[in-house]
Amino acid sequence: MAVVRRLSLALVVAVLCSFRLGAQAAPTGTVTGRVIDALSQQPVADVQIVVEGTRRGAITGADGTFTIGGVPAGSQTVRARRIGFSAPVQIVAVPTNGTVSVVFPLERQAVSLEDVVTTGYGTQRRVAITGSVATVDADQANVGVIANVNQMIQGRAAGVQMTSNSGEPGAGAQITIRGGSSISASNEPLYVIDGVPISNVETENAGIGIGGSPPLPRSPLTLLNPADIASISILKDASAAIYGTRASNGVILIETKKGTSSGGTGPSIDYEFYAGSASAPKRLDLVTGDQYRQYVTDQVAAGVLTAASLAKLGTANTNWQDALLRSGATFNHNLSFAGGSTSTQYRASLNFMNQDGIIESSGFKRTQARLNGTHQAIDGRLRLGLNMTGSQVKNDYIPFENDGGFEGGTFLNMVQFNPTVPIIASDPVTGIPKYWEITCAAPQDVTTCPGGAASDRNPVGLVNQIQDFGTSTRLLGNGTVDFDLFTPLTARLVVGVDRSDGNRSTYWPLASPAGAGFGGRARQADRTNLSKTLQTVLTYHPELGGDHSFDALGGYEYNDYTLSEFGAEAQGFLTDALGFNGLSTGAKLITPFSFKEDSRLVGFFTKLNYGFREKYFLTASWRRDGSSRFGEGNKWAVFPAISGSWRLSQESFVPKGPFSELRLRAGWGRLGNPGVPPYASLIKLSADAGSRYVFGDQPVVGFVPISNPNPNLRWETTDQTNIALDYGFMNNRFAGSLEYYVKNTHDLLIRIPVPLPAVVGDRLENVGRMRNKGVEFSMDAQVFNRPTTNWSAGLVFSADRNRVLDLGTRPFIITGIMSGQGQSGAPSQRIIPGQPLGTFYGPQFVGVCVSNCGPGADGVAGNADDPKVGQQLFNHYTVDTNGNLTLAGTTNAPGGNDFVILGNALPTWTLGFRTSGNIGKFDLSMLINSQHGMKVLNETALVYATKSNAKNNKNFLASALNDGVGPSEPSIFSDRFIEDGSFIRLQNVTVGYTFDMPSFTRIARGSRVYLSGDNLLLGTSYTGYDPEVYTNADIASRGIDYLHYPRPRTITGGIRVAF
Amino acid sequence: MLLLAPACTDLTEVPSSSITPEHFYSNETEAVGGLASVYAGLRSLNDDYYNVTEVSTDEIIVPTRGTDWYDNGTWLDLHRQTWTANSPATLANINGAWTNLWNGVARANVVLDALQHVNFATKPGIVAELRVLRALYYYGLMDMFGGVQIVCSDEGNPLCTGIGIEPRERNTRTEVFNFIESELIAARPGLKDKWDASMNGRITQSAADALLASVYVNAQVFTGDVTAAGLQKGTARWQDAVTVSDRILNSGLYSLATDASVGCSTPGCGWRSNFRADNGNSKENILVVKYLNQPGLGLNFVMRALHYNQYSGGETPWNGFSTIADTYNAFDPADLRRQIFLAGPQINQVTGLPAKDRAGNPLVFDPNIPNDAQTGEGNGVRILKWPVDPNHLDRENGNDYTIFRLAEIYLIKAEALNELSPANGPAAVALINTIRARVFNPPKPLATTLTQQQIRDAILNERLFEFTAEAKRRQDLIRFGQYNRPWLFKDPASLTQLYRVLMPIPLTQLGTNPKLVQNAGY
Repeated sequence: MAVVRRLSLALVVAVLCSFRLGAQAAPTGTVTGRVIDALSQQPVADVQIVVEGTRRGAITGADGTFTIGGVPAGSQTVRARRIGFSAPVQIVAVPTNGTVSVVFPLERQAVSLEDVVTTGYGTQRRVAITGSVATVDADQANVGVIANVNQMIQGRAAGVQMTSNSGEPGAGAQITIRGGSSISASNEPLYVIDGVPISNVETENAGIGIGGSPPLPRSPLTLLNPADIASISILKDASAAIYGTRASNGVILIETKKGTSSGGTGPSIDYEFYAGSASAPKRLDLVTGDQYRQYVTDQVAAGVLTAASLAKLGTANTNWQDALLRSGATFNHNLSFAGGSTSTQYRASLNFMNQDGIIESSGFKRTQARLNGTHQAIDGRLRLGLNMTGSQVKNDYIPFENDGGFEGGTFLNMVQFNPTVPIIASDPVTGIPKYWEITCAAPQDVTTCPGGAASDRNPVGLVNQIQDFGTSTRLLGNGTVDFDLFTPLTARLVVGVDRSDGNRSTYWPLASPAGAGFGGRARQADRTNLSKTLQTVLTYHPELGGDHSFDALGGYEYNDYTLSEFGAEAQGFLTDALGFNGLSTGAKLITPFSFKEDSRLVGFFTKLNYGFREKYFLTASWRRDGSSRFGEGNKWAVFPAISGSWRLSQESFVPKGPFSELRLRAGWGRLGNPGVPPYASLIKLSADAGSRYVFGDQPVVGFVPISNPNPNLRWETTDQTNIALDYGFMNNRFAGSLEYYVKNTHDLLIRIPVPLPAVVGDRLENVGRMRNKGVEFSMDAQVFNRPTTNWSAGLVFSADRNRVLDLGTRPFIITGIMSGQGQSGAPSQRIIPGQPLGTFYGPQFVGVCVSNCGPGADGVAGNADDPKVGQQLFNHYTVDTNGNLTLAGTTNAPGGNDFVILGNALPTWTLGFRTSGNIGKFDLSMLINSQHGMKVLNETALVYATKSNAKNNKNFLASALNDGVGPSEPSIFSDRFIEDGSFIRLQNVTVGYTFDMPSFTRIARGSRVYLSGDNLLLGTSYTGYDPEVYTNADIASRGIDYLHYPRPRTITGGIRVAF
Repeated sequence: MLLLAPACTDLTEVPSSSITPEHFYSNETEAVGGLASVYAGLRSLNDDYYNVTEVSTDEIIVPTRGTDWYDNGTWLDLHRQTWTANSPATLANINGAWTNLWNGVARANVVLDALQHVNFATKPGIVAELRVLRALYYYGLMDMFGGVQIVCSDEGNPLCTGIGIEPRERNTRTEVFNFIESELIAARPGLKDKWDASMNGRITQSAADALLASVYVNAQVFTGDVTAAGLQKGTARWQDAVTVSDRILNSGLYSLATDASVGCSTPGCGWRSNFRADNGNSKENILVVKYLNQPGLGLNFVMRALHYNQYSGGETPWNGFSTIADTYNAFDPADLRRQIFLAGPQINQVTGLPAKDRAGNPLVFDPNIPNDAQTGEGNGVRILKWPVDPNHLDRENGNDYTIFRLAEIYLIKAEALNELSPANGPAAVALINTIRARVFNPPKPLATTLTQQQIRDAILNERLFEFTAEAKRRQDLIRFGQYNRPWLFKDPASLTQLYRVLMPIPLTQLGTNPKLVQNAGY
C-alpha cells in the first residue's frame, strides 16, 4: 500500500515538476460543420464534437454548427456525440491553414455505447464502463418547477430513491441509493460538481422549534440552478470506490454546462421564463364547525362533557386548512449566453427564482450568477478552466414541526384548532382586527385575549406573526489546469473553494401567544461553512492501437472543512417594532452560543482501465484515505475495487438472437462511510448548561465530559458486489440493464449505549452488520421514430431487501420516536437483528370494546383495569420460559410482551416510468413514479383520531366520529394506525410547442412554449396527505407521517427564446 | 503546492470549542468546575429516579387523562407494577434512573481520577466531597437494582481497577454496601462541618453521616439476597444507625423548623418552610439538591402536579401526578402536613384567583380516580409540597429539594432503637412525638405504651406523613416488608411477585454489557 502511496506522490511530483513548455509547432487547420437529426433534418444543439487522438473539440450551438481550430493537418477522425443519439465518426483531411467542412446526421438511439459518461476523476465511453453508473439527461429532467438537483433524479435512475422532507419550498430531501448502507451515519451520497466534491451541509442554523424540534433544514443544493446542469451520473456500486471513505452511499457527479465555440456568429443567448401556481392537492377530513358543535352538544347531553363546553362553542365555521393553504406562485428567469473562439470559450448565466409556498409566509428566492470559462494554449496542450457560482438564497420560514411536541406549530394547530371560532375578529373597542386566540374570553370575541402560554395557537396568526428568515450566500469556485506533459501523459490540477455564509433571524412578537410568554423573543445566528479542495491527477492514456486500449490515472486529493457558528438571543422587549434587529433592546439577554469545528480528508488514488478488442474491459481502482475524524490509529483506510465486462454480443460463438448488444458486467469494491462528526473519537469537556450547579444562591459553571472517548472509531465499510447484464436490441433502439447487487456493510457506525458507568450513556461505535440485496432493471426505448414524429420511453425498476444482521451484543435499538399529546417520546420502531430497518414495533389492535370485554391483562375479572366499553383492545401475550409468545386474550393497556413486529416501512419495489415524444412541433413528456409494499405510520391519525380532544376544546379527524372508540379514550399507538403506503404518482406531464419567432423580431433560432404539471395525480389507499414521507424521528426511522407541510401540486407555463 | 503535501497528511484533531481532559482539573478553579458537574447530576435524580420510586408506590399515580399522559403506557406500567425487563416503563423511566445514577458515578470518577495527579491546598476537601457524592449515586443503584459493579481508580483501594468503559461483572449487594460504608467513613474527616452561606448546599460531615444512617437503617435489605421468592434479609446494623444519628443530633448544627423557630403565624407554616423557595436557609436541611429560578436550574415539580390553569407566567403545567384516595385519607385531618394536598375547589397558585378546567367549569380536584386509563382532568388529589416560588421563571422554581433533613434522623434513630430492644419503646416514641409536636395543634402525641410492632407501624405511617413525595416511600415499604401489599390499580399478580423489590435491569442495558446478570424473577 505504501508503495502505491509513494507512487501517487511521485506522480504528483511529476505533475508539478515537468512543465516543459517549449513544444514545436506543427501545421494545423480548421474543421467546421453542422450536426442535424438524420430524420427531421433539424439542427441538433449541444453535440460534442471531438477530433479523436487529440484534445481538440467543440460543442454545437443552437443552430447545430461548430468550429474546431488548431487541428493537426492531415487525416483525422472526427466524432459527434450526444446522449440519445448515435455517435458517428467521419474521416476528414484537414488542410494546413485551411478549413474542411463536414455534416453529421445523427440517429436517435435509446443508449449509445459511444456516449462519454463522467465517472470518478475522469470520463469513460459507456461501452468501457464496467460498474453500475446511471445517467440522467438533465434537459429531460428539468421540467416543471425544479428547485434543486435532487428533484431531477427522482424516478429517473434505478435504485435511487428521493424523498423530500416536506412540501416546503426548497425542502431538503433524503436520497438513498440501493437502500442506503448505514443506520445512523449519513445515508447521503457524495455530490461532486465539475470534479470537486462539495460539503453538503446546511448553510443556516436550524432555527427554534415551537413546542417541538424545528423542521428539517432546507436543501443546501438549492444554491445550484438546475438549468446550469448538463449531465448527472450516479455511481451506484464499486465504481464509486475511487472516492474512498465518502463513497458507500454512492456518488452523484454533476457536470455543468460549458461554453461553446460560436464560430464567428457571436454568442448564443438563451432566455427562459416560467411561472407556476402551486396548491395543495388534498385536505385532511377534519370535523367541521357544524359537526363539532353537534358533537359537543350531544356529549354534553350524554354527560360526558359539561355545560361549560357549550360556552366554548362559537358560531363560526372556520376551515383552518382553507385559511392557511393558498396558491403559491413561482417565477423563474434564466438567462444564459455562451460563445467564444477556438481557444477560449465561455458561458455565463443568471437565474432568479421566486417560489412561494402553499402556506402563507413561506417561500424562497434565489439569485444566482454563474460563469464558466475555458482556454486552450500551446497548441491545446495547456487547458485552463474556471467555474464560478455566486448565489444568494433567501428563505422565508414558517414554524412547523418535524416532531410536534404537544404545543406544536402551524400544522398541529391547523388540525386541532377549534373550528367554531373566527380567524380574526375586530376588537369592538378599538376596531382593530385581532387574531382569535384561546385566551379570548368568549368565542367570536377578541375584546380581552391576554397573551401568554397556550397549548393552542391560532395557526394563521402563527405564520403571519412569527418572523423567521434565512439568507445564505454561497460562492462556489474551482479552477483546473490540464497540461499534456508528453503525448500520453496529462497532468491536472484542480483547486476548489466552497464558502457559504448563512444568517437565520427569528422574532416571536409580543403580540403572538408564542412570543408573549417571553416578552418577545429575538434571535440571530450566523453560520459559515468553508471547504477547500486540492486535487492533482496524472492521466496516462497511450494510443496503443491494435486490440488494446489502456489508460491509468493516479492522484492526490486534499479536503479541508470548517464550520463555525455564532448566535445570540434576547427576550423581554417593549415593542415589536425592532423585530430581530433590536437584540440589545431586550431586557433579558440569553447566553450567546458559538462553536467551531474542522476536519480534513486526504486521499491517494489510482485507477486503471484496460480494454481488449472492444470485447473485454477491466477496471481496477485503489484509494487510501485518511480522515481526521477517525480515532487515533484508525485514521487511514484502503478502498480497492475491481470490475470487468464482457461483450457477449461481440463473440461469434454467442448466438445473437434479437440482441444488438449483450454485455455481462461484474464488479466488487470496498467503500467507506465517514459519517462521523468531528472529534467523535475524543473525550471532550464542555461547560454545558446541564453541568451548572448552585452553590449558595449563585450558579457555578461546571465542566463536564460530554462525550465518551472511542480511540477505535473508524469508517463504516461497505463491500458491494454487482452483477449486471446490459442489453440492446433493434440496433440499440431498446436498451437497458438488469443488475443484481449485494451490499454488506460492517462496522456500522451506531450511537449506542455503553457499559456503565460512563459520563454519557452512549457513544459512537463501529458495531454490527447490515445487508442490502437487490435487483434493478432499466430500459430505454426509442419506440417510434419518424421524420416528424418520435416517441421514447424509459423504465426503471428496483427492489431492495434490507436486513440488519448484527448489532453486536445489543438486542435491539429503539427508534421511531413519536411526539404529540400523550405520546411524549414513545418509540414506534425497533432496529432488530434479522429484520429490516424501519420495522414498526408495538401492540396489535383487535377492536373496540362494545360490551363485556372480559378481564384485563391479569386474567382476573372484576379488577379496575378490566376493559370498559369504548376502550381499544389489543392482543395480550404471555411468554413461556423459551421466550415463545402465547396469545392470552386482550388488554386495554398493552404492556411488556404485547409489543410485537407490526410491519415495515421500506418499499418492496419501486418503479419509475418516463416517456416523451413529439409530433411535428408539439412535444409531450410524462413521468410516473411509484412505490409498493411499504407501511406508513399515520401518526397524524394516531394523535387526532381521538375524540377526547373535544374535552380540551380541540378538533379531531372526522373519521373518529363513528369509530366506536369512547370519548375518553387516549391515543394509543398500535397497528391500527399503520397503513399501506403504496402509491403511484403522476409526477409530471409537460406539453410543449416549438416555433420560429416572426422574422421582424430578428430572433433567428427556435423558441418553445410549454405547459407543465407536477404531482398531478396520486393513487393510494393511504388516508393522510401523502405516503411519501420522511420524518427524522431518531436513528434510521422510516415512514412516519406527522403533520407535514403538504406536498403541492404545481401547474407551470413557460417560454424559452434562443437568440 | 508540493510543500503542502506532507502537512496535508497530518490528521490530528484539536477541537476548537471544547476541551479534552488530559490537562484539565489541574487547579482549584477547574476542580470546582468538575465538582459542580457531579453535583449537577443530583438534579437528574428528581426526574426518572424520582418518578420510579414514587409512581411504583401508593404515593403517586399518573393516570391517563384523555389525550394526555398515556405515553406508551409507561405510567400505568409503573403504578400497576407490571414492569418487565422489556416493558415501556423499564425502557423509559427505569432505564433513565439507571443511566442517570451511573452518569453521576462516572462524572465523579473522571474528576477523582484527574485529581490524583495534581495538588493544591483545597484538594483533600474536594476529593472527600466527590467520594460522598459517588457513594450517594451508588446508594441509589444499590437501593433500586441491588449489587452493581464497583468502578473506580482510587489509588490504594484494591477494589478499584480503573474507570475505562468496559463490560464488568456485578459486585454483590453486600460488597456495594461495604464500599459505600467505607467510602463515607473514609471521606468524613476531610469534610467541613459546615459551609458559609455562599457555599450553602455542599456536602458536610453531617451529610455523609445522614447517608450513612440511611445505609445502616436499611442494612438488612441492602445486605440481603433477592431471589424470585423475594428478599432474604441480611445483617442488621441498628446500633450503628443509632450511633451515626446521634452524631448529627448532638452536633448542634441542626434544628427542626417549627412555627415558632421560623417566626410564622399560619399553623404548620414552620414545617412547610422546609419546602418554600427560601428553604435553602432551613436549619433542618442536611443534604439537599440546590435549585435556582434560572433556566435549567429550577425545580419543576409544580409542572407535574398542577392543572394547566393553575399557574401563570411562561409555562403551562402538565396536569399529571396525583395521589390515590387511600393515601390522602390516611392523613389525620388534624395533621397540618395534610396541607400539601390540593383537593376540592382550586385556585391559580400564582394569581390566587379561582381556576377553571379546560372546558370552563370551576376546577375541582376529586380524590376518586374511577379508572386509571380514562381519567378526567379533575380526578385525583395533587401534591403541592414545594409551593410555587413567587419569583419563578417559567417552570424554574428556586425551592431546594431535601434528600436528608433532621426529621428523618429522628425517625431513623427511633426505628433503630425500637428494633434493638422493646425496652427502647418509650425513647423511640419520644423521638416520633418530637416530629409530631410541630404539626398538631392541639398536640396529638403517640402513647409511650405502644408495643414494638405498634411502634414499627407508627414509624412507617409517620414516615409517609412526613416524607410523602420525597422519594422515600418505595424504600420504606420494602424495609417494612409491605411493597407487595395491594393498593388501587396495582396489578393483582404483583402481590405475589416478591422479586419486585428490585427493579429489572433494562434489556437494552443488558445488551451493552454481556457480563450483567438480570435480577432474579425478571
